[in-house]
Amino acid sequence: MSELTIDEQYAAELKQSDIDHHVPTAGAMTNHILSNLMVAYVKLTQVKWYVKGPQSLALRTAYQRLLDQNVRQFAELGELLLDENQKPSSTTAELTKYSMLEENGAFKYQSADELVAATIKDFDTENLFVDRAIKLAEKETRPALAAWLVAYRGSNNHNIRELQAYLGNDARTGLEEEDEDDDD
Amino acid sequence: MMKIIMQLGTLTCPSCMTKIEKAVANHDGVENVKVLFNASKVKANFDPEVTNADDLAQVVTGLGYEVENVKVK
Repeated sequence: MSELTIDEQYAAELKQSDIDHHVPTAGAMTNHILSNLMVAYVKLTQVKWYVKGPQSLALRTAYQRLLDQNVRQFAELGELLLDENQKPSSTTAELTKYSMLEENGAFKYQSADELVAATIKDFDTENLFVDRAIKLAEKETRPALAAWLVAYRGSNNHNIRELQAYLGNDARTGLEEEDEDDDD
Repeated sequence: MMKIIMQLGTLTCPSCMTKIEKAVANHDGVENVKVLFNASKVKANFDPEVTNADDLAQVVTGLGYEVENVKVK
């Protein structure tokens, strides 16, 4: 068999990635988590830099902890995907394409409460992918990936609860998906 | 107006669902598209004189995603 050129290898990767998205695989779903982590890094930094008000000192410390954790998780998850013979995205454009978190340059002028509420929502959005990825990892018999994802889910839950407490809320206040219809 | 509820595969990825939501919303005769991420459902209102449930399911399958079932009411 002839060797593929670099461009051919990348074209094959993109083609496979498209297939893996339509019929989801654990690797494709987990790559979304990696992408969300990258955008979350920028978003957490935005809050840390711009948060104002009497709680800003405490929030800056809390957000620094979230940033340190984010960097560690991004590095671990990328390595883990490679261990699983997957191809984690490795350019900013790819990671942005697969992220679901939305950014807004004007958002930094919001109140501390608004900034924190948005971070809570982002952790909750990340969990949508985590729950699906855990099921897929179990289905594909990838126990190491599933175990990491379960621990990551727990860490997100904890972050949500702590930030919700700052707003005076319980862990799940305002986060449940409404399904008002009698669909059955 | 009629209402359609499309059940996608329960493991369809949330950002793919956002893509599906936009495609359905851009279809003629469709209003109020809503996505339930946890339940993997896309709901929309549509004008039966302009489009129909088969057309809307076709929008989703045309993007390469599977529609498990469709309810209209």
